[in-house]
Amino acid sequence: MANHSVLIAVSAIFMVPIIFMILTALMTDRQALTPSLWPHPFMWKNFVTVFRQIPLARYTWNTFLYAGLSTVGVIVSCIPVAYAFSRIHWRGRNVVFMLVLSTLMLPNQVTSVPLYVIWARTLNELTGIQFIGTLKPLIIPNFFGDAFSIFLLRQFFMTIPSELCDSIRVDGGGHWQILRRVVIPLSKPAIMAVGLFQFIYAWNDFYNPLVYVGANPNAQTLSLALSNFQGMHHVQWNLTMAATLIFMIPVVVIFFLAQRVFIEGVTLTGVKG
Amino acid sequence: MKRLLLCLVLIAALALITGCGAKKTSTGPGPASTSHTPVTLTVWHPWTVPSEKNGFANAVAGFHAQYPWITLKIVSFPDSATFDQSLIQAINGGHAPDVAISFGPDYVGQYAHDGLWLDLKPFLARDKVPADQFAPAALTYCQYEGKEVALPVLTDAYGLYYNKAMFAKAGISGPPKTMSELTADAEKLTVRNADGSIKIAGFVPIDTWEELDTTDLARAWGGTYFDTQGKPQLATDPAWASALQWQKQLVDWYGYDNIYKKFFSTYTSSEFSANNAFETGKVAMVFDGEWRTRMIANDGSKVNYGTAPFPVADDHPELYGAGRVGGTITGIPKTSQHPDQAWFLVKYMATDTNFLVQLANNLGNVPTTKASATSPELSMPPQFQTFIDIWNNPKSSYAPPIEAQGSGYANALTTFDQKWLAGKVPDLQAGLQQVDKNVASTLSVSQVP
Amino acid sequence: MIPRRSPAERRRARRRSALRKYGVVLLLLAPWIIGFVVFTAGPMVVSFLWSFTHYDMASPPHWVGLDNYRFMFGLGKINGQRMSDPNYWLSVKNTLFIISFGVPLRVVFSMLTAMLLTRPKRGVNTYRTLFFMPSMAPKVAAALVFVYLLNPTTGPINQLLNLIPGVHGNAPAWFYDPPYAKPALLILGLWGIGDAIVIYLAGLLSVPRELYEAISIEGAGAWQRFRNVTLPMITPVIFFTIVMGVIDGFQYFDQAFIAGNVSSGQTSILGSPQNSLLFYGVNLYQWAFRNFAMGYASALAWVLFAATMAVTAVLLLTSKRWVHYGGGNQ
Repeated sequence: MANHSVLIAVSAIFMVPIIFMILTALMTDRQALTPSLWPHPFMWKNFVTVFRQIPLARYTWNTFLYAGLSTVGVIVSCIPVAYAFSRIHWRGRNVVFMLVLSTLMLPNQVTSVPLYVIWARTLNELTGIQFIGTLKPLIIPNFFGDAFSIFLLRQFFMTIPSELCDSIRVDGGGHWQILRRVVIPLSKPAIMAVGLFQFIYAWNDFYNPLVYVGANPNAQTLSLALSNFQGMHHVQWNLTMAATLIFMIPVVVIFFLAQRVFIEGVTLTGVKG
Repeated sequence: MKRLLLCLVLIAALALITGCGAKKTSTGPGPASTSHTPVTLTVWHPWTVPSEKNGFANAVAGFHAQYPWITLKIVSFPDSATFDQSLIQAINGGHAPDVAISFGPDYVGQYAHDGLWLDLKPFLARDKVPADQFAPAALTYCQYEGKEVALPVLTDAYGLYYNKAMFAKAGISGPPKTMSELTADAEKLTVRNADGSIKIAGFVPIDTWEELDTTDLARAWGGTYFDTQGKPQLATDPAWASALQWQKQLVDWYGYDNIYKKFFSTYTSSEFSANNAFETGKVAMVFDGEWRTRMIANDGSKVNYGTAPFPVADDHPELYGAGRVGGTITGIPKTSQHPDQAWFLVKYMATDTNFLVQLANNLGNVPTTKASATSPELSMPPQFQTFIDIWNNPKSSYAPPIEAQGSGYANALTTFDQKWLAGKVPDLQAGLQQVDKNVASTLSVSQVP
Repeated sequence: MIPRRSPAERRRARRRSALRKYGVVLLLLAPWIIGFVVFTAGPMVVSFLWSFTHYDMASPPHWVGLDNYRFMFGLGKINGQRMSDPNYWLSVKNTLFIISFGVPLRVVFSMLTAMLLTRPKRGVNTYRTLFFMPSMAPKVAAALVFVYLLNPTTGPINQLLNLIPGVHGNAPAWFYDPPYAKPALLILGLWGIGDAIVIYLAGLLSVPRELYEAISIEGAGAWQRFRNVTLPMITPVIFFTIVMGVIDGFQYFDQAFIAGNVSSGQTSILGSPQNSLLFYGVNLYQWAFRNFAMGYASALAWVLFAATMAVTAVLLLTSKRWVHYGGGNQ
């Protein structure tokens, strides 16, 4: 089929940079920056060396903790909020929605400085809990909504036909029933997407762990571990690429497996309007 | 309800703004502490590669032997690029270490001006630490506004590396000592391919090639960035125009496309790898730091090389022998709860000969005290001596000059130089005046009394 | 017979149900409201106040009123001399460029690729993973890979281009040449559309199949199906990607930061070559963290915020005309 060949061609182009990353990961340090494109010799042991230089178990656990919990937080907190912005009519809805969107618009480099002080001092003094040097400042805010996810879910919730919601209401059900029996099941691809994006964002996040955890090696995440290959005068590109590839694998696997849910949570065929 | 909320938010904001409730900050030293109660000092350093991390840990183990009641909690900060920023955040947030080691002095101005690091002068005076064991150049980057907030822990020094084999083959007897000689040698040693592109470059004069910077070129003419009032004088001090014109002449001789788009882009990312252009014989001369001697050895390069101070302008022979210096520094953040013990560590790292020699042998940097530089334990190749001499030369200094507003202001000149070499600047003098204005603007908008 | 209610009773009943509705809304929004107050509003107010100060993050802020804004727009005077941010308007121009070209490219290519991926076929899961994988790479790693790929002499792309007789020796210098540096970033952006593809995929798969069946019965071809069913039904998704693309475009930073470093060979130079990669966010970063001018950077941030709000509001208001929410009750 013609479509297959187009897909193959386009995916080949997409894969070129990744293939390059793999080839570089297999080179010696010396060869990694030459124009030569084929490793000579094949340094398979680079992947092992990477493991030796990082306390892998601890970092992986921290990263899974951050990515996993923050994903749960986002899904649990954003669904109700998106529902309120899409399936209920109330005065001021659009204005508040703009407010939600507005939180995406302020460059985070500037607000991150006051935010750090809030975690380091204000919240510390209010609650007595030590936040800096732990994953808490990374995970906790995700249980209070995330504008990107709210926006995405709202768009999807708005496409659900109102007849379906009305039928629940006629049967005497409230908002919780509507959410549980109509909105959530029909939005599985969108919810899946939101969860996936949050997981990947947290997994790849370098800046936030650096700011909040940086000086505590016990709580560091894998993204920070990449710095182990970047010295003062020397970046070990082959090991950096190897580590980045290893770093990407869990996410690729999760995506591959999660696709089923994407497809399954899909069509309205069979649902009588 | 809304108004109450607004009030609360504003109050919180103002509280944050007025820099509320910082932890009690230390004041000057009393008499030297004789207490032996166990103390743990947290130390941040930016070495991330295991060989360097371990090298530091091993070298500093001697401290615990000398001060057994002090335990060191050593933290390797995972991002050297944002080390100082994070340190400042930590100081403001009350989570700073007792001792910090930074790769470079770009923040020394801020540390001194805002009192973020303690002034070490009282400590130095109290313990009668001889000031002249450090080269005079140390003061150009360890102190600002009269406060010496840092001490050097090894340093970098920059000079000229030249390929002796190529020189011999071309019949040049010694390294160039003047800028005209540099041009002549560069042109003589350049080898072109059949299609006109450059196979071997005599010397790459582009200001961001590896370690070379416009300030290094201007140094050859005795250029100074700021006048005595602290105003930028790139347009009025003729050294800068001379340096830029010298530079462009050589670039034009190569051809801008040839030397920048093709040659520069091919080798610039190999600077720190074994494919370094100088190590693999693709350039005959290069402006580089002392660590290159270590890298040549580690990379197994066969290059037969010599080192010398960077050339100077034909009419300024008295400047020969100096160069840019500056490197790792250490100091005590103001929030340290153990300033006395922290001082012991700072003093140790800056002056203990065994420590400095061990660390220098590990990292390949220039030892910063007279004793360590002349120690028989120092294992450096003979070409390394050039850099020790540059470090000790009284005219050597750090560049760009330390300012409380950081070193971002220097980007204006570098970006201008890029345009200048690309031929996009019709009037050099007007261009430099604009750069002066940009530098002044940059410094003014962060002015804090 | 159901007893009739009096007008007063009806009014009370209405008010009760209205209160109940607002009560429910408040409950649903509660997590977001708390988060907003603590984690967002506070920092936002602080940064707004900082924009009227000179603040180097070490000493307390120093009030200067509107000076930072004057500096931004070229109305500032220091010691009688006109002073302004020399790179401000350039950074605005660069940012507008990346938005005007980057967003349409992203929308069009993601949509087309997602459409390719909806056809039931063997190996679709693999294709999807392959398309999505690049966007899962850390942005810094992706930018570095492209910097290498597009190296003017050693990069494979130019090595290929130079084989073409017309191009030989004159392949673009990409990140080393101002006219080609931003297009190189656009290419990098296209590599990372995987996340948008996923969203379009979710949208395309949510289009009710019966609509397609209905229109096929009437004998419509592929273009008709696309124009009359697919396109209208995915307008909410298109709207989403446009708005997010614009917001992200205004704050474009990570890739520019990496790429801008490389052509200068030094980590201290941002926006190289010749400031062609100095985007608004990069300029902001430089002022905040290299020049220690957090006050001015906050002013920059708030102007950016205002501009983004304005553009988004316009997009939101005009969306009613072309975005079709199939739910039908909006």
